[in-house]
Amino acid sequence: MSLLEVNKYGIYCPQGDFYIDPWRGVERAVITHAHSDHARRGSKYYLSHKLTVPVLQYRLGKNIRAEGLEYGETVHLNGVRVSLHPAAHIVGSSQIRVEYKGEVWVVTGDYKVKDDELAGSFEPVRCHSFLTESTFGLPIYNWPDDTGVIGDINDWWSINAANSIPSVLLGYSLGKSQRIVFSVDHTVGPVYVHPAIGDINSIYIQSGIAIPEVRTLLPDVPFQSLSNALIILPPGSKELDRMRSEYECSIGCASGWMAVRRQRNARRIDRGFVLSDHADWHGLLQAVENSQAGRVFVTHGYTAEFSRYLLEKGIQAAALETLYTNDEEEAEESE
Amino acid sequence: MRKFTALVSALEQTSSARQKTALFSAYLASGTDEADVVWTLHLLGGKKPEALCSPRRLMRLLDRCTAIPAWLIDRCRRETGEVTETVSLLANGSRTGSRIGLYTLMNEIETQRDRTVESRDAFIQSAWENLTAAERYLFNKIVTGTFKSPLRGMLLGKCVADVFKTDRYAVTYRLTLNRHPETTSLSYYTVPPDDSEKRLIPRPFPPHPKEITLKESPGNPEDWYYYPYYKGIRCHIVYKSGHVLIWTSQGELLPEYESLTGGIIRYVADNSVLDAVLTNARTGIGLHIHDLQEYDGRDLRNEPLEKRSQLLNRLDLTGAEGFHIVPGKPVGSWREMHSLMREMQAIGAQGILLKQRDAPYPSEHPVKRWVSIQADPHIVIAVLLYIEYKPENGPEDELLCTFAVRSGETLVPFAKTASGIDKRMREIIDQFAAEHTVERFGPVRQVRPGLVFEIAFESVEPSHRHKSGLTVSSPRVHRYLPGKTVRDIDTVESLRKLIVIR
Repeated sequence: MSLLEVNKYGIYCPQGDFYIDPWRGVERAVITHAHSDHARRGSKYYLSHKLTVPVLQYRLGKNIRAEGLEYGETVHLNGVRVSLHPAAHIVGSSQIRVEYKGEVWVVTGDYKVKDDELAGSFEPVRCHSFLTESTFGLPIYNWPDDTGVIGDINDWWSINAANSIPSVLLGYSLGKSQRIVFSVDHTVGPVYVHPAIGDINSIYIQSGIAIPEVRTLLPDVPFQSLSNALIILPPGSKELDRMRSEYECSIGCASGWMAVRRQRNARRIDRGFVLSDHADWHGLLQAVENSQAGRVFVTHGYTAEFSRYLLEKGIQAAALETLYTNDEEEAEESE
Repeated sequence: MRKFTALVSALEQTSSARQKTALFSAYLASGTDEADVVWTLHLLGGKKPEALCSPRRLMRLLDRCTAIPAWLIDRCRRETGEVTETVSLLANGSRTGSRIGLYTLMNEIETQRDRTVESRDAFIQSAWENLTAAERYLFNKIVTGTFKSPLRGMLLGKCVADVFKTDRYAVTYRLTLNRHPETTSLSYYTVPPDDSEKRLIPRPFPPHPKEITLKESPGNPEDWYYYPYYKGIRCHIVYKSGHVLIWTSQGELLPEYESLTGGIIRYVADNSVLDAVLTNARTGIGLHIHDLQEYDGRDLRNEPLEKRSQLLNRLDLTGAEGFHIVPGKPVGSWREMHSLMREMQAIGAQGILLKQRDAPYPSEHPVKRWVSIQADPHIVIAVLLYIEYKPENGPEDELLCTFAVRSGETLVPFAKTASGIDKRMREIIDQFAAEHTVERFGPVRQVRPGLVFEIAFESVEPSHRHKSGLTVSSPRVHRYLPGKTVRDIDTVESLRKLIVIR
């Protein structure tokens, strides 16, 4: 019997009798991060990083039973050692390390290997078996320097502001939006966020994370006050349709998908910024190498391509079918 | 190259004229080196430097300098859908961008043109190493001769003119001339026009005439002349001091066809400006001249239409291929408009243009003394055959539908469109597709021919590229016909009858 396996509820540890990011309600769920394709309703007990707990409560209900851990802290579940390690995807996002009788597995959840002042630094964890995501598992995905991209966002916003064109920037409400609020130059103009983003900001602030104060975009905000503003909205929100139909505004989108022209052109936007919270091609390869794992399982994303590439490099790898999406946006829209 | 790339890739992504203007002004104000700005204007103006190599050659160069296996390169090409972009994303390079200016890089490209293939290959590969992916993409477009300007014609001219407070038509005109950037200074584009130039620069185009319906009557019929209303590109033909320039309303110059300009020189007096509409019919390019702004050195813009029309009718262009005089004819009564409309459609016009007899050439906004009546569209009954969700290059919520008519017992697709599909139709199509998809070809699904619609369009032209042997202009879904079946749809023959013979 394998230490971890996939069944119809999710990634399961038979020895410890718990699931990691299950896609249905189970008895005990260990959660990598609170994006909706990884943290779903209906489980009896949740275990996650302590900074993820309040977001889980906000998204899944105040009454869920959730326990928080520090990074590196160990719990024993039926004799299986479980610990969480930084994944740098969003605040509190964790790789799950599972150990039993000397055998170690790591489930990455979503991750990036670049340092991020908000989400921290990815910690390479040595293991025998490594379950990695592959959202951007093609070599065309190589992220440009983040500082440069933030500079581009500031420039775009400044030019729009100087011409009284509101700047609308699309980013997931959990993670990307906070990173944008944290990184942009607030001297350019006021920053407004969608209420769903504002809620997450408040949770972060209550947890002691230094997110700058911003305004909430409520329906009664007059349009005149937005002419030099940066307005951050989740991609599928109704406010976006309203802005689009009523005003001339410049719509930007911050996502790793913006690296490819076809992806940019497929959306009705004026500007794409390549800003991702996932590992790019080299990041994925680096993470696999640093894990020193003898076996690699590739989940959501370009699973077939990435595992074939690893196999050809002499690394034992296989694609693993899961129900995680390679786009938080889709998950957000379906909520 | 860094500033040029930031500008061009930002311009490419937005379709808003206001945002393009803002971006370009910011670029000019950012203190870019003058020699670089001149090259930027040259390239944006639509001048394509000769290609150094083909996109296929780029692919082979990439193969040489990367360890990525061929199957994975091929997979990436399918992901991007474009060879040049794939090469640009896969080649190794810099993350922070190059210090090299556009001017320096373009000069190096020019020098390489006389060198051997090996030298060019080495040059391209070493350039890649110093550029970011976005810079590499534009570099690759330039060296393969496939660079397309995202800001052309009048809008580019206006942007430059706004920043330098000069005449936008003069700038637009100069941008069309083939000046080598090496011997051109920025002031060449920005100085005010001299007298000889003033005569060649285009006039402002009046706004489109107000649209009315056949039921409305705009006053006394005796006050009006009617014309066939062609939907096409509006042009001003400027013939001054022996030069003929044909300006489009987008501020582009029509390429000089000897037959076109020759005809004007032979049959029209020098120092004249004519209003025309350019249509592109099966029989070739046609310029339909319907007004005169200047003739033989005389400015006619303040003269009443009657006077301008008399002069226009006296012109004889029968020997000038491609030119058609469209004479204004007096309106008898508003009642005859219905039969007139059918005549107009029979000659391939899309409606009727009405101008007031005593009106000067329009300068006011909006134009009140010219009005147009659009012809009703043609409508055929067709069946839905293919659908495509999230089509490439379209908005994410778009549904692209292909409709077919009958030819004997087979179904022939004739129109592909996403327009006219309202929320209710969308629901009906979505549900039908969920239950009746016959086959899938990538993103495209073939559905059982069971949903019948009315499809509206302006005109039909013969075409060799389409299965049906014809192409319809701006097709859109007009109405869903719930009770109808595939037995009720129209035939290819009925469509073919609508082809206009000019």
